[in-house]
Amino acid sequence: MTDKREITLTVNGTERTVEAEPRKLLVHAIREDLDLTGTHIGCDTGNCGACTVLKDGEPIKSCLTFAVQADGSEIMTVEGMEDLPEASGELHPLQEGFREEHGLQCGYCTPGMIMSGKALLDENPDPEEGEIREAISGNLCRCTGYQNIVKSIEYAADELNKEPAAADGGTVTAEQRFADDDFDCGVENCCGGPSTETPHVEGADPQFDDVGGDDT
Amino acid sequence: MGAESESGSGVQSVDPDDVDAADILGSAIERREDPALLTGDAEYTDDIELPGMVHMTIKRSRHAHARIENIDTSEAEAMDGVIEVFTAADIEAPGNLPTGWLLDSLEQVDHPILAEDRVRYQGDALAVVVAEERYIAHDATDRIDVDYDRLGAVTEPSEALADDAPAVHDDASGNVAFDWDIGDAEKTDAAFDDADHVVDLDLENQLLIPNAMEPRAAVAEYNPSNDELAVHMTSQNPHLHRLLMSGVIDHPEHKLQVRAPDVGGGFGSKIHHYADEALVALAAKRHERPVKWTATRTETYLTDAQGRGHDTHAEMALSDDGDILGFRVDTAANLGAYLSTFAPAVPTYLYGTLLSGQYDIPAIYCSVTGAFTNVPPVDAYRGAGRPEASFVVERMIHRAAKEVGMDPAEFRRRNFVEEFPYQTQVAVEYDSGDYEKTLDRALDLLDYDELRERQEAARAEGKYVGVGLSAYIEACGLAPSELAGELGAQAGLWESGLVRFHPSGKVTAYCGTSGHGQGHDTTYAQIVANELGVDYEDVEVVEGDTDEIPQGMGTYGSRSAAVGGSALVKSSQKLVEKAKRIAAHQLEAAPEDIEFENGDFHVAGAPDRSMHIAEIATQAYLAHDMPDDMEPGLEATSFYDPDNFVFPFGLHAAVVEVDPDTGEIDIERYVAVDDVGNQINPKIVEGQIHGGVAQGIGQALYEGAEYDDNGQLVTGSMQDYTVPKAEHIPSMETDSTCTPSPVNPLGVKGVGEAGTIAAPQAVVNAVCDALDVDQIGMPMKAERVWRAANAATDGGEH
Repeated sequence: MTDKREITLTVNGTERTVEAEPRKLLVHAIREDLDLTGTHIGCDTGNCGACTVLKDGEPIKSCLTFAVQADGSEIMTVEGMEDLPEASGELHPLQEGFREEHGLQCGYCTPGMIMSGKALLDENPDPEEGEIREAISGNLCRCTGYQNIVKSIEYAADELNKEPAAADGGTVTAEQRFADDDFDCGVENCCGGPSTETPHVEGADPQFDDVGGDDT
Repeated sequence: MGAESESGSGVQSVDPDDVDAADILGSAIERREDPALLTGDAEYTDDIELPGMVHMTIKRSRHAHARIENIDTSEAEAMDGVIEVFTAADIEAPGNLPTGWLLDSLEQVDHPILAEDRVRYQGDALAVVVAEERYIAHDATDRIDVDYDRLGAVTEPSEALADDAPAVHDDASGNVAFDWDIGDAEKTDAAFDDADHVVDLDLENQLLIPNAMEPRAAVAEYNPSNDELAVHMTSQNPHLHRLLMSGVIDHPEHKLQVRAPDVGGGFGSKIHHYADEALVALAAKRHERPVKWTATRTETYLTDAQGRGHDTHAEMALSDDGDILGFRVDTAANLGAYLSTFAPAVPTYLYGTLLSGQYDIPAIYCSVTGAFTNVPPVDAYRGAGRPEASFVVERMIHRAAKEVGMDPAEFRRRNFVEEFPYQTQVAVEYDSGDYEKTLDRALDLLDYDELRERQEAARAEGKYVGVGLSAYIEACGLAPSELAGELGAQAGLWESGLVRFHPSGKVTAYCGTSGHGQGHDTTYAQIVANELGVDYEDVEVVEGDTDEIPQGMGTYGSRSAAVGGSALVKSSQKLVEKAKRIAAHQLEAAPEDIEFENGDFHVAGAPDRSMHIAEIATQAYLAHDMPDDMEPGLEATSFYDPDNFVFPFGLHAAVVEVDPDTGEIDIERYVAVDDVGNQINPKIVEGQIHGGVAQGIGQALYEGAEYDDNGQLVTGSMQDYTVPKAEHIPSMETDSTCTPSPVNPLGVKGVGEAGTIAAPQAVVNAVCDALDVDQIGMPMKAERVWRAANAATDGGEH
């Protein structure tokens, strides 16, 4: 029961090793071994989504995953959001959206909401309200009534769809941007361009190339 | 401040840098607490790691009612990594959790922090494990072996009061915790004698589980060299927790620090003093090491104080013309197994006093019996008594309008209170209001007449559309102390605020409330910046720590802005007065000739002779040139104790379509028009309404604690108890009117609970309206609705 195994995770672009019992939950490894306490625990049953992180680009509930199951994977938590290229070192448009639209109150569900929001926008850059509600249906919030969370994600979608500036100085619409099938923003599982079909290159994480992350 | 909001799709946030200083109060500025919460930098209790910290778990009763025959901890104690296992037998004089509100007839019962010989609800604490690691502590807890002698259990209040019910406490005869009444029974009987019509309903307000997203937790650290004990915990009221805990564990109050770091929601569940945090503190003292306990969600389902739990029979006396003549209410209230911190107040003074609703009712009588049952203690949950009252009133109004053949909107209008202040027949006096205004605004938004036509047309096509109205009132700003004392409170309900200028002219404001998602750091800074005329960014707000804030009563009952905010106003005004005298002295003018505007003091008629308040702060600390007999420094503390409650109100409306074949309910529209007085930050007000309404819709449609015959919680996880998801809650249309309260200097009324109070009966009334039935119980799950719909079409009873 207590035999520990060494596992390696690439967390927010940085390779980290953790000694973990096979039964240790990924969320405990993230919070207690990696000291990334932005990922929260809100239930025992996988219902609340406060522990949502991205594993190889997919949203997962880290309280339903053993740490050893994540060995070798890329994990992204809320702490990594500001390091994404579209955040340019400040709040990511999703985080900005939550602030602008008052999409949070106590903040406990917020990191999980943001990760589910990111997973949605990576796949569907211009979601309808119903699609947003569906995408966050695995994340419970007791404070906001969800309305402003939906608006926060819509805000982020609008902001992300504005960038980058078009050659004429105007903004590029989502339609223009994705009209070109070959469009590649360089971020895995992002922008509707390189999708989950894109071959995953072990060890390479283009999301963090421009922020000088320590990969060792 | 005070402008009424534009109707429509919501309030737009603004950057504080884009707001003129003079307009900071009332601006929908972005919250300053958000960046930390958005980036993972926030610190919740379970995030705290201290050197040498150990973990604590609690062994809880698996049965709802049983004698404890034996607790065998030997196997758990023998495990590697287990430091100690202790039970009630191992600690000297295990403390009892006190009740902070006493009623004349109250049967006080012991509530030990560890059960000694009997458990009274599933989840009652039996033993404590302290271990080096979290997982080991949980393993050891599972290895504690308890022998029980099971007893019969009872979970419903009306059943608990029946003759043959099992006795929850041997001392509480018939499981009666108290009998309480309010109003004039004789006058009310007379009104019923004269009535043309009498309507009645049996109404259940089901037990709810709060489900704050952050489970309760505590981390305690003890320093034996100076006897100082610090407890970091999920608290809505650190000072209150300190006071209660100091008694429970017999540790001097002045050597006990209670600190609430970031707190992930409360909704009342983090007001009360639970055994758990006292046990963490005891464990830290026993082992002289930091100890952490974090509830699992299962534990929060079993042990968080639950809310509501009323069985009510209500009758209303009416005239042919549609006047309400009298109102009689009889309620059995579930108190659970023990009396929680404020439990006796909730189904009495926070309930019976609100039974006049928005209406001029000439005779009211309400009697309440509090019942002990084998469920967790029942106490304040968002709204606390006021949702129960509003539910009874508004369900009865809906029924009464139908009885006299009036449109429910017009029936309400006919009976509204029109003159303020208004003395109700149930003790309280309403401060201000304009009930027709919120009704009319809501009817406009709904396009009510068109909606009624559409409803009729839909019915002709076999579609069941319904409109439900809820004209709610609540009493907020829990205070004043003298009145609370007369009613049985064992605490004052003032609030304290300290405002301190620093020598550089920056300001720190300390308030005894303790926010946990409400955005106090932002709104209090808006208040103080406005009063002092300093930049919003120059005001820091501190809450939630007994070591930093002189005194406090905490955040609940929608009291923070009305009472805490007002305390900060009072302190700021004291600073301005002192600063004015310093300015007069240094500008060589008489104090009465000094005018204060936007932070500047200037001599009347000579605007060039001026000093900014920040400059005066520097002078006050230099103290080189002060008026005679004036002490240096520029800070002030106030204990603000208002003269009355404040009474927010509004009109919420739900439009539903019900499928009678499946029992499914679709909320097509939800319109909320609220009057919370002046608004400090309209965006935050909107957020509070949204969240409150979502909880209210949750109660109407989905939520409810259910127990089996043995008192086992059937809805004991998020898998089984439906906390509404994004797809369950409709987009809400919010709007507001503004009737400032005359009670407090800000003219605010409170908003934290409004939505939760208003929403359930709006939705139930809408479904009853759609199906043309008198009654459907909550939560209105599909089966219930289907049965009601079919009974209605069969012409049978519902």
